[in-house]
Amino acid sequence: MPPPPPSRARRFPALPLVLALASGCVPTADDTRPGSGAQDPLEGPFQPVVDLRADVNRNGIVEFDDPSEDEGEDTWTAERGAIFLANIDDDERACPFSMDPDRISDAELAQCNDAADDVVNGEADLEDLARLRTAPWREAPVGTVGSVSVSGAAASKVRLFKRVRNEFVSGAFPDTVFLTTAEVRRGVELAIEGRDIVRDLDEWDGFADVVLTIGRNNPHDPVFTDTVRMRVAPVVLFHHLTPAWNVFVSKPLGSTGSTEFRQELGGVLASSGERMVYSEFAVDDLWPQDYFEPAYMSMPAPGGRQHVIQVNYRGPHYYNTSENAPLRAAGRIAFWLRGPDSAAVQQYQPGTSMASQTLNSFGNTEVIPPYEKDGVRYPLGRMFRGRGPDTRPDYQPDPSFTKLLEAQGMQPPVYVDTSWLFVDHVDETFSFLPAPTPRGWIALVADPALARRMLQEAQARGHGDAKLFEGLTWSYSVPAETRIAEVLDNPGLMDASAVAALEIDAQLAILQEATGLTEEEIVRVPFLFQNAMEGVTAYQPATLNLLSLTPTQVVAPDPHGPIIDGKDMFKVQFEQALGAYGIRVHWVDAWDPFHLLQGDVHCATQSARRVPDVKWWEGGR
Amino acid sequence: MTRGWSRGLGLAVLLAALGAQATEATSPQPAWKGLLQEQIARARRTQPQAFLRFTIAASRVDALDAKKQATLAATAPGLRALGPEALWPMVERLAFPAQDKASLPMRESARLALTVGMVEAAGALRDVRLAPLWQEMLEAQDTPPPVLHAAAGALARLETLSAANTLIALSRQEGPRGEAALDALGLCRRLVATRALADALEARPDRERMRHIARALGDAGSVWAWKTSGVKARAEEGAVRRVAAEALVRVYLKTDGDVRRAVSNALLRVDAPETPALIDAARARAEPPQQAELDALSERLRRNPLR
Repeated sequence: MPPPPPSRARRFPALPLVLALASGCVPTADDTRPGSGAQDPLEGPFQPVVDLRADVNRNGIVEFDDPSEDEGEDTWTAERGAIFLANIDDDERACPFSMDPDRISDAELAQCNDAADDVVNGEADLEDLARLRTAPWREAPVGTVGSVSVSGAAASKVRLFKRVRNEFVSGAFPDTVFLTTAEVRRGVELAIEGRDIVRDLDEWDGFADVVLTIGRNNPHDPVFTDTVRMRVAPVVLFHHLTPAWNVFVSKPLGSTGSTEFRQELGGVLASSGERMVYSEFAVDDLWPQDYFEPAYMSMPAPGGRQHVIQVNYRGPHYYNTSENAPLRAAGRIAFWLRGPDSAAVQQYQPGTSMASQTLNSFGNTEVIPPYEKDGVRYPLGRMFRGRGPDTRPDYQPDPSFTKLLEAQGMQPPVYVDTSWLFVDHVDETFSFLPAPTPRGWIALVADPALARRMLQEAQARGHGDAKLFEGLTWSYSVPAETRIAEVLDNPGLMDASAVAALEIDAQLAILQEATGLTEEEIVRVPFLFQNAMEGVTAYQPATLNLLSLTPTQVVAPDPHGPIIDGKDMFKVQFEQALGAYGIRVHWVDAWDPFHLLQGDVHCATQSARRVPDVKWWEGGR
Repeated sequence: MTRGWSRGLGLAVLLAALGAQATEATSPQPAWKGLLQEQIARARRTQPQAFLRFTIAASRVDALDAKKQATLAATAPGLRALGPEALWPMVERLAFPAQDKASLPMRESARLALTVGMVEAAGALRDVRLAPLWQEMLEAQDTPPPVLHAAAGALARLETLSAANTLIALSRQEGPRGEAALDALGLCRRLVATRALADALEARPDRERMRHIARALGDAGSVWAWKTSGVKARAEEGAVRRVAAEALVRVYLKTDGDVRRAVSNALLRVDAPETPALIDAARARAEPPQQAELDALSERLRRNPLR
């Protein structure tokens, strides 16, 4: 007995199906199987089996014998709803790459990916496609035809494939496949790929209603439909609660200091006891934290797993260097990393002000780890981003990239004003680390007032002559060392630190309002600030500008603080503060060139992290 | 870098330094420039190594610019660290720009970063003999906005009445010059400048200008800055902080968003002894919803992280 028509199959006028068939598209199904051309009597009522199945119950397979695969298939909730991926990786490494924009322009780099053609690019590529199936209707009479299609905004964002013999093929219309009588009778296997991620909710919200339509090939007859609502996977940014597995650094030519830093960091990674990939990019740009950002997208896979495509965002820094290279050059690394299950995304708006470009760095887009507040859950955390003041619409992060980030919908942003900083990045004043607390994490917050108090107390105990930055030099081989007493009597340093203390206080108030973070969940990190042009920047190395390796290990910049009783007073404070949460600090020297150029360890590194066990589709967003 | 290239670079910067010296003599100049030229010549005789060190430092700005993290390379911290003997080499570059482009950074952004850095670093030395130089840069039609800001800051840091009055006059202009002067007024830490800022705030300019004025009032009354020994007009401290606090409390309820945050931050930065009483007085005149806003300000003041 064939299954009865699904209860939600609906009758519609035949127009869409007839239009599709009249378009001249030739079905590509294998109609040569014995019996496929059988003459069936056109007797009795036309009661088709109209049942389109996708992985609605999210167990990684498409089933006909499980009713949960069919219930609520035309809706999409935290509990159920099918998912597909934007197939924008490069499984066969077919996309050309060069760092030279004269060979491949920025625009050309972004155009190439697996979804840019209409074929399946190998077995690995097939894994990136979500499957659908139509139920067989063995008694379908001659003249029965069908289609599976996507309409509306999603139509131009997806491509449908139909299995013919052992291959998945796409027809002339990416958003539609046609079914012959034989295919309606035996049922077909389909696949869907996203041709892009969601970039602008005003253009596409990421949902695709996939509609199976069956009817007689007669424009006057009604047709029957079954709809499955699917959603393209959002791109999710990593937070610090999962460990790093790949650490990235730049490898510029002719920088002795950065070479020593890389070697020192490599030693730390080797001694961490964790399996870690260490990647060096030969680019003349010291700041991998800024020019690209690793992320991921995923869909359900069998066994409760997630099938993951890594995504690397290119920094949307609009430098307008040339027609071929409007963006910051080192960001091309996102495309160098493109390959099997690794995608790259580029999005920018031309014409944004040069001064505002620093807001586009990914050191200015961090992630608050997961939490719940007032009954609202953020299982993948929230973005924590810096912006310009609300009085400066011309001094904000790239609006098109902001739209893209927010359109992912998983990590609603919290914004703070960072325009008072010379470099304008949130990672200059905040960091988040895993901790064995009820919340599961702590916030590290810059505290110049604490730094001043510590130095005042040291001075009061007779250590006013103790030196900061001993043996170090500033940019021009000028000795950097200075005494505690000199620092405390420097009006520029004191005032810059006061500015920073109050701005950080205002930032922290916003963070606390958003998260409910209590004082007990905050680790105050002392360092002073100095003036730098129209902003302030860390005077002492910002120890919270660190690389979180694992839940118990971080790599932080040596503060080069005053040595009192044989110990660096700022190292002691930081080690004790993090030690209370079981976190070990590995110190590396980031003074030259990073601190001298207003960055520290976090700015000098980037990390791809383990995908969290929490699945984005269960988050209720 | 190979040794040969290194030697070549050293020779190039030396020739560039000599070239800069050679071009000075032919330029017509006002009297103050003549005085600066005398100082530069004296410094060349007594501290020739300072000129070479500075020239070498300047030759590295292209590399700094290439590796910058922000929009402009921050050259000032390094130039400041060259110490007081770097003053006259920097003044020479600023007051008597070399015609020989070989001595300048190659990239435009690097040249701008160097100029801003030199103005900031030389300005930090607070030498009153440079007042006309800063004023000339402020008044020149082709000075880029970042340099205007740096020059206004350098003039303000002299903390003289004359500098304050020059900046007050310039702050009334529209455009980048007026904005730079307004932003720098607080750094004078003089009562006359603070009153000018208070008046400007009282005039209810647009929100962006209000935000800048609030910050400048914070500069003027900054409690941490007043606690250092270098502030010149010590006798004016109490009045400066009081006038700043009065102006900020007066405007507080008339602001919102980031302007209110700027006003609140400035009040805490000034932390004048009169502030709690000023807030109480404003509260007594306010409607209940506004009383709650002032209560929030009082609470923030009570938890002032600067104390």
